Amino acid sequence: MTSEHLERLLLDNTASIFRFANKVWIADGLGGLYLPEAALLVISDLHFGKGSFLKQHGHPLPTYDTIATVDLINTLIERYQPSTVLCLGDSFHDMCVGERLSVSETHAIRSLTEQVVHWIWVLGNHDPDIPNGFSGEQVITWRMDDIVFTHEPLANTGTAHYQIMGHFHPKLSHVIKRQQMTGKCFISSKHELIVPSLGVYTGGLSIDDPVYQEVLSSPAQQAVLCYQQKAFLVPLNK
Amino acid sequence: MHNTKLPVQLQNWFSSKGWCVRDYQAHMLEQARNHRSTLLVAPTGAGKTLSGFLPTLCELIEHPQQGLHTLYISPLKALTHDIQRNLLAPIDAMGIDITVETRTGDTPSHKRQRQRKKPPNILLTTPESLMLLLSYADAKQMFRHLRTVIIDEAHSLAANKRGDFTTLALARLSALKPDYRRVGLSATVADPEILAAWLGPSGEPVEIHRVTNVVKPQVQLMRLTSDIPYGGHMATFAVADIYREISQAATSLVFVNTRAQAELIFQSLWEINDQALPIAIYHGALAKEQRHKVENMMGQGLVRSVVCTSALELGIDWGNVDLVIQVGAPKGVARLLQRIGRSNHTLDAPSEALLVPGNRFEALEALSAMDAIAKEQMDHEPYHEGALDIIPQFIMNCAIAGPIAPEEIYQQVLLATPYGGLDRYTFMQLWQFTIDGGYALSHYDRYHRLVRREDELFEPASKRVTLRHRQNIGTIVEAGRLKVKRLRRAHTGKIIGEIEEYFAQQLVPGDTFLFAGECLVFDTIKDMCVEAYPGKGKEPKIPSFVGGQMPLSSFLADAVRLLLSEPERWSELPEQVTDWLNLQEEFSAIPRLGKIMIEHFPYRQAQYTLIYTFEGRKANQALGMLITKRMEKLKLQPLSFSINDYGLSICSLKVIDETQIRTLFHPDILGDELADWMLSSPMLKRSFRHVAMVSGLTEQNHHATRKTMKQVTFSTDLIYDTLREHDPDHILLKVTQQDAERELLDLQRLTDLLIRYVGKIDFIELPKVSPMAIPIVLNVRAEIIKGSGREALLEHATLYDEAESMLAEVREMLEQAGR
Repeated sequence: MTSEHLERLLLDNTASIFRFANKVWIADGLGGLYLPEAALLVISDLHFGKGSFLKQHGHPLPTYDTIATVDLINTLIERYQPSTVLCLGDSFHDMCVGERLSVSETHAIRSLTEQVVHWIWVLGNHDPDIPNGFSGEQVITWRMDDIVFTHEPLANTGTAHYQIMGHFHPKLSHVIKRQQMTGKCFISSKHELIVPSLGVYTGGLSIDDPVYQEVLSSPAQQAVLCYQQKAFLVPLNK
Repeated sequence: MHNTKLPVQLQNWFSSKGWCVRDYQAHMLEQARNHRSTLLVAPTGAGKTLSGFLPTLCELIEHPQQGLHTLYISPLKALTHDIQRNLLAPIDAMGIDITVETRTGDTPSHKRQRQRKKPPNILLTTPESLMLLLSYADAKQMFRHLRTVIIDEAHSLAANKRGDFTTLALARLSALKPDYRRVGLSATVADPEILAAWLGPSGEPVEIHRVTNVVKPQVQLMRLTSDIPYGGHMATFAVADIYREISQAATSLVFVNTRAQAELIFQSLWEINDQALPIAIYHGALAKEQRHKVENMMGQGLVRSVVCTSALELGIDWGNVDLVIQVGAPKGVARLLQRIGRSNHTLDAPSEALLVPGNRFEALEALSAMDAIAKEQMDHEPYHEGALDIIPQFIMNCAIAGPIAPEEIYQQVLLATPYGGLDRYTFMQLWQFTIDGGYALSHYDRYHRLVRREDELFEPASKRVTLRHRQNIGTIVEAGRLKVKRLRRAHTGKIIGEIEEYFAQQLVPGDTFLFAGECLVFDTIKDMCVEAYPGKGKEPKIPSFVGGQMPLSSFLADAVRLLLSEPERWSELPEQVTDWLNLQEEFSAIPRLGKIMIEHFPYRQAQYTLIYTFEGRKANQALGMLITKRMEKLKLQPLSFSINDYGLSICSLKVIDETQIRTLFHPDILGDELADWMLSSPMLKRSFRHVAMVSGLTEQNHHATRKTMKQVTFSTDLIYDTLREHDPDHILLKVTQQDAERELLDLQRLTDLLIRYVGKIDFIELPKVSPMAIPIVLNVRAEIIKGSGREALLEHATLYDEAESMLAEVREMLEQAGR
């Protein structure tokens, strides 16, 4: 990743740049979070196998979601060339996904994990365990400097001052000149950063929902809106 | 006079009422004797419904029988109750033994079960409840004595999805009991032949019998004492005048176009109701108890006036209504006639009606409609091919009743006129979709809804599939609804109706909204119920109902254009409307026949382009999509467009000049990118949402209201996108496109328009919005254009300076890392 490359991404709004926990982060319009200083890519709530989970109950849904989500991750890996990819939980929709995945889907996920040096699965409420046959480190939380990465918010972050989480699938609606724009988003307060869901069959929870007030220890300061696959910084000073 | 012999009991009852059998009633009896299917077309107030039932009563008196003799299908639940009352009165008076029952979504389950085992002689039902009946294994048994099916208000069913659904139910019924007779009852329509073809099985239109109107209704514009506004449709400005007319009439009906408008007008009327007149409210979202209460009060003459929506438009008989007031644009001549027909429910005296336009454009519409009525012209609805998304629902419905084979069902579908031309290949694609989703690349095909048995027939995969189908049957595109509970004390109270989920979710505790004619304070959503208590609020919100919009008939749109081109007729308009037109002429221009007028002006921090086509909504919708696409290419940054029946208004960030307009308005915009652009538009996604629901791909998901579940439910937009990318030939995408072309787009009309008007553009640049444009730009429902314009808007929100310094930091860091 060169600085020219990064500049290009910022210039055409493919990604947006912001500060959190005394570090500079890149929020990608597809929903990935990149930390240049550690060559770390964070993705959250992939929900692999959600389509087939619903389909087994007789919903005639198309089940292209897993492959479509893998395609998104591939794009992000190509774009940022990370040395570490951290999945922030709910990577697999349920405990039985392993049995439902096709050979090609298993292969596609496996080749994802094999193309980066370090792959980390933070475990979530949907996937307290990762199906067999996928490499990567499995952890409950992951720590880097002053930051703890977790799926659901931690009441007690120990010695860490900051936490980065998934789980909530934040989205927001922004109105400018009577035009409304809605999309998934990153949202941060002083000590917490919530990453949007990446899985193509995942819905969102509006950041107006009171649950965010409980999760964020101080009022949200800014959000990055993902809209038409691009990223836009939205100040939230109310 | 025909030599009709009524059974003596019936003859006596007629005599006791001082009635004699009218000619067309005798004709209906004759048709029944010959067991011929018939369509009776008669003006409102002619006693159509009685004519429909007269043969049934005769046959049942002459040859009493057990079991179901006549099935009556009405588009409205309320109508079945009304008809039951009207039938039971003579039956009781004659002291004969004929059983009449209703069966709708409101019928308790024990009664429904009993009806299947021991059906009444006459069953009054709705298309959805009929389809549900047909999904039971004992349907054949239940219908084995069926002689007649009466389809009431047939004109309101033909040419829409619910009508397609009805014809499929009738086709299925023909498979179970081939020799029943179909009787259609319809208000006056422009093309009875189309309706007759629709009513019969494919290729066998039923016979038509017409009753002509002798007395023309008297329709006038209401005398208004306050100014007609430029924009808006609610017409609250006229409440004092409406109240004056209500207080002068003995009984009146105040028709409005939407439920929201009903609530608002009702509230405003009560605010000035110093004579304490009994004024009621009636619309389809109110709970049945509420509606029954109003119906009963109307029946007993306890109400002076009812503010109502189209829910009261059909058939329900309320003795003597002196006056009908239409508030807002009439939207169509046939609809207006139907509403006017509610007044003076007899054939021989003229109906009286007053029209109240909601804005100045609507005044033009109102006058055009009055002219059409005077000249006995009607708008006619074009013929439609059947909607394909109903087919999977139909297949499931048949499979649940008993094992089926594809060919057998295909033959039944062909019997329904709207599907007479359905090709086998498309049907088989829909069949496969019903079984397992029919995805080309899926390996998940072991998850089936229908499974093949050893004898090659198909049956539901599980009880759960059956149950879910029955719960969702007849989902003809309705937004999710939540019940409204009016609280007396904590969590206890009465259900008073339903509002749309989408509206409920915007409410925060303490918000007030108008519903069922009172102001309610929102408390919480609990167990699928919106809990609210009566109270006062400063600015109560008004529930919006997405389905409530009525399109203007293209016939009326043409009539308005003609009226504009004939200034000598303007004198019939209210003075302020004439002033408005004169002002338009002075400030800009009046659209001329044979020309397309385009205005361009800045408005509210953006640029607006107003194109007056007068070609109807569907052509305008297609034009809007194509022009904004070209604008995107020319980097004019379009943001959104909104349409109405007269034209469209496009909002963009950049100014557009005359040369650019000519490029935009050129037939070559119908290029090959059209299909792709269409498929990725939000409009198609909206169509897909409906198709997904009706075809059974997704269901009305009530879990979505439980907040904790919200992030796990996802929208059909996401399914649409993956489907388009990974399975572009999937049948549901084809169905979606057909649906959009049928409901939303008129590409043919657009093509004609573009070719006809090459070089015939009147382009006018203005410093600000023109008088005529105001009602159009005030239209809040806009199509969103995704693209560079919106990105440009969002870019302004990005904080450049700070981003620069952060980037510098990163640059330094990366360069150090790379040595």
